[in-house]
Amino acid sequence: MSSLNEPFDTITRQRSAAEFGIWIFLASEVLFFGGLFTGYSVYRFSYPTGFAAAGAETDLLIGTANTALLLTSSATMAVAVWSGRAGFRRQVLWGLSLTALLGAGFMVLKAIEYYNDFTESLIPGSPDFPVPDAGAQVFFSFYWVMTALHAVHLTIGVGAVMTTAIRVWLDRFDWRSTGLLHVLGLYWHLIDVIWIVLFPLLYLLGR
Amino acid sequence: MEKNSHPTPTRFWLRAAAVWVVLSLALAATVAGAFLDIGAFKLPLALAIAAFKAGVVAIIFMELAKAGAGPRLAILAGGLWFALMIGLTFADVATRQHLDPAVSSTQH
Repeated sequence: MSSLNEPFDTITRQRSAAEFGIWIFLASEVLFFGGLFTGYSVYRFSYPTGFAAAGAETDLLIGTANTALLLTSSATMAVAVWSGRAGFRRQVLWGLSLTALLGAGFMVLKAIEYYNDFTESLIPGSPDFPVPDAGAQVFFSFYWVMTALHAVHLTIGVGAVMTTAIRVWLDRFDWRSTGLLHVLGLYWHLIDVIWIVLFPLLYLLGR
Repeated sequence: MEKNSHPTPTRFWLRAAAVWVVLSLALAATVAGAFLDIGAFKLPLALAIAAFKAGVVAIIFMELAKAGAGPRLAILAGGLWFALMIGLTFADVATRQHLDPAVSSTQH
């Protein structure tokens, strides 16, 4: 069970390098989603009524429930990270397991929502698309791309959290002194932060 | 003092729960705000609450308050580029003049 890797002399340096690395990655993610946010803003500026009419068609109940799930998962993730530093192995396992479970719950609700959207023909280009206003289909283009891209990130997150939980359980790595739990937590929280911004843009228009 | 700051599992769960309560109240406020009759202020209100929630997650859960210079620079760079992207885009989109189609077609 080694914790210090090349080229670092001390575990503190290795930890701060890992932290810096994930923050650079997160900044690049801000730009990645930022392009979509910019596109969304431009089209909302051009088609305010179409966006409001289309926004009223999204499922507010599932959207709100999913936001609550992700906010809760951030809290359980934070417990795992704080407990990791203090050496509380059982709390780390509880925190990670609950986080993965809540993330999986989000994905199940999202799948139900996608199914409902599909049966309601809320698909850009569909001949049965229910909202006639100009720009409504553009709104749903952004809805599908943004939520799908977010879901991909969440799926990777759930996989990484579960893998880490198993590795902590088997004591496969030094989870106390390496920054791995913190780095994993930062990725998870960013998925939460992006959803926090997506939620009002996709679910609260036209209510 | 040393004894008071000694971490316990209960303390971690309580701290996380306290932040969770704040975040949940903000979520309830943003959903309620969407049904208020405040016209053009709806989206700014919703985005302000979203920024508050994102700030709470970033400062407490992502430990931004304790982050060193490196992470702070990374966030600043990401935020700056995003602000430039939105700012320059809207400097164009929001200031375009819509000419009468008849006028623009006779210009050629």
